[in-house]
Amino acid sequence: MTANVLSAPTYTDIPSPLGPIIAEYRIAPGTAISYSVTQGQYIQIIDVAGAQCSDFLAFNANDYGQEIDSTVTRTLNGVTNPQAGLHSKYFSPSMQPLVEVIQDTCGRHDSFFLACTPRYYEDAGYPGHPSCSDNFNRVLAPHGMASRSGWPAINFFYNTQVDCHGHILSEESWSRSGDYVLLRAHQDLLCASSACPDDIDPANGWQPTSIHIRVYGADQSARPTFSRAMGRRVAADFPLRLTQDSAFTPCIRPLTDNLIEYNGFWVPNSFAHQGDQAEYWALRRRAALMDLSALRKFEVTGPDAFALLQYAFSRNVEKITSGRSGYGCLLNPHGGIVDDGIVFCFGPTHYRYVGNCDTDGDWLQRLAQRQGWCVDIEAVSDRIHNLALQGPKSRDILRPLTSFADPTVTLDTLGYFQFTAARVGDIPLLLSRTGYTGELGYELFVHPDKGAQLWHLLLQSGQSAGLLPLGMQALDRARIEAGLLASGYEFDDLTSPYQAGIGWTVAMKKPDFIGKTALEKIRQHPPKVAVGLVLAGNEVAAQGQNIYPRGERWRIGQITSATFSPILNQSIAMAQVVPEYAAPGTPVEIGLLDGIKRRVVATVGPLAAFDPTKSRVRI
Amino acid sequence: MEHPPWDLAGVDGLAVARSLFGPEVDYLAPFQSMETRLQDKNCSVLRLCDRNFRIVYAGPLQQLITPLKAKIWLKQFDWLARLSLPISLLPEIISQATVRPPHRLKDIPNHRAVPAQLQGMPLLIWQHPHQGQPILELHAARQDLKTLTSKLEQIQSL
Repeated sequence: MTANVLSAPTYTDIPSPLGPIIAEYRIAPGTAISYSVTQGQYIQIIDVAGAQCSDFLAFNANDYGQEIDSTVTRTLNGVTNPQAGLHSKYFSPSMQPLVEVIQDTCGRHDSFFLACTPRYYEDAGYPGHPSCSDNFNRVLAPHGMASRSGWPAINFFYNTQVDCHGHILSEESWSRSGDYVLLRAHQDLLCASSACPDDIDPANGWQPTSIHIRVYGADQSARPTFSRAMGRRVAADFPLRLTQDSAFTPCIRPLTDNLIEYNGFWVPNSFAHQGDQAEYWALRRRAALMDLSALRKFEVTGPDAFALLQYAFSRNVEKITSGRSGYGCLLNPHGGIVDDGIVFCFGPTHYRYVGNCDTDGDWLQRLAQRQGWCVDIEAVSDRIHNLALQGPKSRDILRPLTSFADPTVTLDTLGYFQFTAARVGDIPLLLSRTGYTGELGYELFVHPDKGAQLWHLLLQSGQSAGLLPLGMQALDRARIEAGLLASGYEFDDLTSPYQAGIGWTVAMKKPDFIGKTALEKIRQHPPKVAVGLVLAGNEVAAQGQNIYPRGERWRIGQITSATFSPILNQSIAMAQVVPEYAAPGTPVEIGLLDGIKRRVVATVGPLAAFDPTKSRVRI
Repeated sequence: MEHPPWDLAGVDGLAVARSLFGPEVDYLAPFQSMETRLQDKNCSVLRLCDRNFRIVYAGPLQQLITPLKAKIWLKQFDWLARLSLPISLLPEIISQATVRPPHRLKDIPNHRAVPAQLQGMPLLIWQHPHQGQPILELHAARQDLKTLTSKLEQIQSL
């Protein structure tokens, strides 16, 4: 069971080690082991065959009473299960960290349930069935630990969720072969791990298999070998993606510990000694700088590049001429939004699509293949990272720094949704008059090699103007004020542009485009349409809350995004309601809490509560 | 030990703060503060959350707020103590204090508070000017005051 590293067998059924191994263990199906680690060492728990749960216990090596306490852990983190990043630690009853999640490629675990118990199997008609709790009793007994009827373990890879009725449901594990959790020990620990024997339900795919444990040395912390990362899967035929830094993240880390995972990148939620409102007001009154490298970029080239985008993208690409860009969405056959994004035109055979999803390029490729078009789609996100410099003073900050390849272009003549090659300082980049804030602003697309240089140059140059870096909290406040959409909030692939509030981006006069037939019908009477709401009073609504006519019990819509607007000094929301209640000025009620205890009156208005005519972005 | 501060919070917390201190109070992020005057008296306002504020003010704040009939509570916690210290102590206190991320003590600017622990004792470290002079203000549980004072004396003697 325990392998000495010098004579260790070579395991060919799991990924290569992440580094030099101190110890490794193969846990046979339906069994458990105990093992020790010292402070700073790393524990990798690997699902060998996939869909196999592995329960985990950890005790302070000198005081077994200090074991992982899931209630304390949930309370201190504010999440159901720790994740790599800010809320990553598992705590003891005395609120001391025992282990910390460094990497997790599965992202679905359980700590609501005990490790499986004899009682579970007895109640199901299987008295005497092996259980993780009995296995733990067996391997912990030599350490002097008393047996328990059930152990409160961290059940890695165990797929549970709480439904709307409060039931805790479990299903087959999400984990695939080779998925793992990498933990860092914060104390000297006695650990126990299992390969769960449950074969009477889908938890382990009906077939328990092995778990593999690797322990790595503490000196990893001296080198950034184990970066913190969450693994995300976006499609069956796309590889696992681990959270990465952008070109600017190394510049951002000294300024904040409040980083969150967003679309595969570590991004700042807010900055130390600043924070939400301070950053927001910098954006609205002066200027703010943000890292938007999480956007995905695809080069679309070839003789049929125009034809493809004209078919796949909602806008009339004929009007997106060289040096111009246009906002719209990629559509699916039933008129749903695959993704929203911007098409940049470099020429009739060269475009760039900038959206949110890794799968956008694959989708475009498939459409091209189906149509027999000659197009190359190249994912270029790895060599184009981008900053957004936004705010009333953004142009003034850029002016002394910027020169243009085209001598006829100036910052003052670069119009809204125009772009051009430029140099900021001596850094070559693409400068685009676009943004996601509702303010005058620019996006700067640069090679990652120049990222740090650009970040420092802009921050330094903008200091006298009061430029601040902007986190996601403040950005979200601003984009809701501006009525700008967010994927997963205002739209998904079942939402039409007419429902999401961007029906204006659909060029229905195009002779043919994907989803046209469906959209012609939807446009006549979309099931819901997007509106803005201004709430009476100071309470803030939340996504998913229901909307009712005044005094009625039946619903007419739901909140998609909400915030308190500092510049308007009002609580506002974006919502989707049935067209019959979408007229400006219509009073409605938002159901807070359980929808009955408190209803807040709101008034229907434009989707963009702030500057609905977009005057600020067009300066 | 000085008079405890006023704490104000509730659904209308921001609205009341704006009413008292002007729209500038909404420029503050959580744990940022500002100095202002209220009815010709100096007033320090620390924002703790979107609708939570702590106010150091010697005047009759209750009398100013009651007429607003807002959905808030206003309290002076009898379990909270406030100490004002020379700003010169800040570096030494920072060197001995710990913080939990995402809070940071390093390079703490003026008009900023940070929840921290001094040798395990929880407190709020607040750097701000008061009556024109830079001060270091500590908020701690009253029951910890004696121990805190003793720790500070040790630090001062270093």
